[in-house]
Amino acid sequence: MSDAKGAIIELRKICMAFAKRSGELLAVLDDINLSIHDGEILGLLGRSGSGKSTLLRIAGALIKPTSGEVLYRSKPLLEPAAGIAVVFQTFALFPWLTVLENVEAGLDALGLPRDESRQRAQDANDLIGLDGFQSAYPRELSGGMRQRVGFARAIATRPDVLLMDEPFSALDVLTAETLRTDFLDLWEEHQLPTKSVLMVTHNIEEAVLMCDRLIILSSNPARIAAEIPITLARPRNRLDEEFGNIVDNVYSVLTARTVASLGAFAQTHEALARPLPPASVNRMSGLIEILVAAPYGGQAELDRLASSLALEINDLFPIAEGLHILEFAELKDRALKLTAAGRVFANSDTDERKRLFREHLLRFVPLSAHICRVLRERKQGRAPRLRFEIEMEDHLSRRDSERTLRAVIAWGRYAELFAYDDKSRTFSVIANAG
Amino acid sequence: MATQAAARARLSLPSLIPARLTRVLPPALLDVGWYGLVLLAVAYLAWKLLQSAGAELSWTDASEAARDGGITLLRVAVLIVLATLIWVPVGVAIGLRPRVAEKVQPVAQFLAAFPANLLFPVAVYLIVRFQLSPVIWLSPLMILGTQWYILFNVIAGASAFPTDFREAAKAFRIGGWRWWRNVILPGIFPYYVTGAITASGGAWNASIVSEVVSWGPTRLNGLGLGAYIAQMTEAGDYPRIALGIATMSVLVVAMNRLLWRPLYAYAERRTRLD
Repeated sequence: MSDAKGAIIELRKICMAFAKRSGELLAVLDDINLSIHDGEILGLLGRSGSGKSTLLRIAGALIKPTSGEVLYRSKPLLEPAAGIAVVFQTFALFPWLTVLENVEAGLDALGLPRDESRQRAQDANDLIGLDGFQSAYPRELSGGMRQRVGFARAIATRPDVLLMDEPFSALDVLTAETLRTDFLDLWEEHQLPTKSVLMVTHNIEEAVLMCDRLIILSSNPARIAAEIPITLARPRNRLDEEFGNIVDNVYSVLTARTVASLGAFAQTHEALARPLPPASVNRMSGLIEILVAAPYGGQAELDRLASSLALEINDLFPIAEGLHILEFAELKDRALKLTAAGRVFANSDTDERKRLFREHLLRFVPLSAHICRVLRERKQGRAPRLRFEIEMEDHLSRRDSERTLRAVIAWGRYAELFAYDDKSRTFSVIANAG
Repeated sequence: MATQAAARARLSLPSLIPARLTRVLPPALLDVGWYGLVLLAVAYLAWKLLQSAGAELSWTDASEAARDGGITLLRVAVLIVLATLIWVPVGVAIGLRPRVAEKVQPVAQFLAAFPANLLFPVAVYLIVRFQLSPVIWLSPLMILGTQWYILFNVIAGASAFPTDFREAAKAFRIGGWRWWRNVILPGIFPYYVTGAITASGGAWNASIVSEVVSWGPTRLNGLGLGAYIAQMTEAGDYPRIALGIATMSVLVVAMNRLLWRPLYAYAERRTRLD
């Protein structure tokens, strides 16, 4: 996977770990080897929190890996280099500088004469479609125009490599599509000074539309799960059958990975610390009802489900995952299939649903049973949230543990397993419940 | 908090007035009534003051107070500039290192609360020992207690500086003077202004105790409006105390209105993204 031939940037045996609250290390990236080749757009795809953005920052020497090395043109890269430019998800424009000044600020380090620097900045702005906005401040621009400034700033430095961290994900759907198309036009017409692009994304269609090669990361810690070359001719058309097939294929690789890692988690980690997805009870019961009804009859392919519900796959996924964890449905390949319990749930009234949900929650989410046990053991029947946070953070990142606790609180409240007061951040037993 | 309130302070209706009242009367009418009340009170007090003190004061007194005010104004300005040159770089260096900031921030806040006048005798001793000019060397005492507001506001600003801005600066290798000018200084500017407002206001107050300092039999007079007020207070000269305090109030309010408030508004406008 890491052949050095034609590689502009090469990552070797990259590992990254962050210190947890307890002082222990939490591995985020584990033994990542990859190279960015001359002339390609390489996509990094993975679920949120999988460490993609961390990997991109390591590739640009913005942060140092715990171990492993980065080579840029076969030499170790220890600090950000002139030939590497970054486009940020949040645009990262300085609000006190105008569009032109922001782009010029990116050229500062090149030490060009003032005239040339201005000329370059103006050229980049013209190329990216910012002419006329030179003297505007970022706050006067829409999100799309702001990201154009982000692109112009990067391109003005005439980099070999462009590192793009989810560059379109903070934009609305239409704006993102316009920017993508504009970028691809420039890329395909070889109008950009850039030789290679590394792009982080969680949007599968975007990845297939733009990239020549995809690296799929698993999570907790991230490893390279798969590498998928995309040889589709450019310009690509989303409506092509082949395009759809590739999206399906990528999708199934990603899903299979997730299901495998869900299973693996129970074995490799303490079951308590299994991360829970942000799925509300309402959405989960809604999904069960949709699945049980026609035309699905208890089973559906996720991508079809998503498009018929007008949901992003990324929004649907946590809900499906929640059902899978609670064993109301089974997530396999790219399909979601109701279990017997899921069917019973669909045909029950409110009280019966609560009872069923409580049973499943206690049985399949050890954390909820654990919280109940702790509360029972305490005299006043109360326990601070911090107690569980500390326990969780031995196994999970802060973000995951936060998300997991939020999910278990919402689920536990619905099931009337325990009460939670957010003001005092304490769990307590419900007054008249066992 | 208090400093931000000071920066934006206006003569506005206190919120104590029950909301019910605003339902009965239109807010504009309430405003007019309130301003009228304030104006009446001010006019009455001014008249009383002129009646009792005006007879005793001459134009010489006024020009003396104005000259002393000028000296103290100059002193405040120079000291704020010096404190800025020292504490802004230090505060930035600390604020960008979260671990250090965590430890230094409470220390800076303690220093701000520490009664600086406990150190005045040391200054008197040094000035006498080395035969220094009190007019110059008493000045630093004014800012001893309040310079820390600049430090901890700058620390707070640098700590709050967005990570993506830092990453962008790093990625595009913006360094040296350009980094100060284009990246960090504009970023912490609103915080700095907040600190400087407090520091300068505090310095004005401190001038009353720091422009005339005594330790045992030694008494040093540094000249200035603070010294003027302190001396008149000692002498129990009410008309001149009133004159001194009025002059100081006018100068402080003028400084807030003409310098700090516009600066704050400018800072806030520039760092806003929406």
